[in-house]
Amino acid sequence: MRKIEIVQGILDANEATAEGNRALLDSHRCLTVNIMAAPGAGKTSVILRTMAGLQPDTRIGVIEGDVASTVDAEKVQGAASAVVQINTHGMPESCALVADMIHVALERMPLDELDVVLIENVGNLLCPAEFNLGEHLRVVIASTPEGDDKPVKYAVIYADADAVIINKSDLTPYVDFDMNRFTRAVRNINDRAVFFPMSCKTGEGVAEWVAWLREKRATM
Amino acid sequence: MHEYGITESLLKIVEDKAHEAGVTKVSVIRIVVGALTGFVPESIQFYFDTMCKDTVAAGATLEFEELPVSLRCRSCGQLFEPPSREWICPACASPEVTIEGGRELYIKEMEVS
Repeated sequence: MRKIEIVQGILDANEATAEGNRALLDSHRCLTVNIMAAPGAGKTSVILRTMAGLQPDTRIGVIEGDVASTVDAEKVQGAASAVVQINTHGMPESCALVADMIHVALERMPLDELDVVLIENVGNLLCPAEFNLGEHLRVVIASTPEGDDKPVKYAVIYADADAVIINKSDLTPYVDFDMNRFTRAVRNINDRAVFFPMSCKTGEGVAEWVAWLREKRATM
Repeated sequence: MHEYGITESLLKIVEDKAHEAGVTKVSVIRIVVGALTGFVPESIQFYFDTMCKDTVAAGATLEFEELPVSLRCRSCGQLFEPPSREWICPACASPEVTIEGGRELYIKEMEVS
């Protein structure tokens, strides 16, 4: 019996694929946004608002990750230049998108004809935090009915976020959500995230978010 | 959950390393998991027990070592392991931190023959 020292990251293969994805997206100048949130926070609504805000001068592709249905893909179908649906049911990873799935999806997209790729991750605040997809921006959507303590409970996903959208701001008067407490909780573990209070219902805050994305695309 | 894919990656690394080293049997695999990762050792073990059949690692034991959460204070630079989910610097009481450790997931070593 002898020992072999290894010290090799189990996620190294995912990281390598993610780097490949990033290089491909860079070469086509496709700003790619990984959108993560709990189920029901409003990922699809934010994507629809984002597309409406960026169009008509921005060409948008959407990768829809979902456990089983094509409901979300159907909703965005009309507005996007290209939509690829990934059903994670039956795949090794059913609770999050991984870099391999994005690699396959990108092969099916006309990247030369796209400026922005929006990735709707599977609704979950734990698993997507572990997987780099090769995206340029990691965005977490919180929604006010979830409560302001989620950054404490799901620290990892918030720690890595480049932007945090606080959706359903129109419901703030009716739910226990203290905006200052929420932003402070994120700031405690993340010194760079940009905050976008938003209501997909009323459209509040959408313009600021869209302007930020435009700037990110322009400077890449 | 996502342990299935993780276990596939784990087994692939083990098989590659065993092949490189020219060993015929892997009996113990030591894995380091950070306390902040969402990975559940029992789940990895569950998938591993099925997947390892007909491989060099058939019947191998997985041993997990959990690494604690390690934080660096953004105000005074103190490195500390928080005793609870209250992430407050013990030196200056600042709640503003950077996560330094607790997100690891790697194979440390294996016992082979």
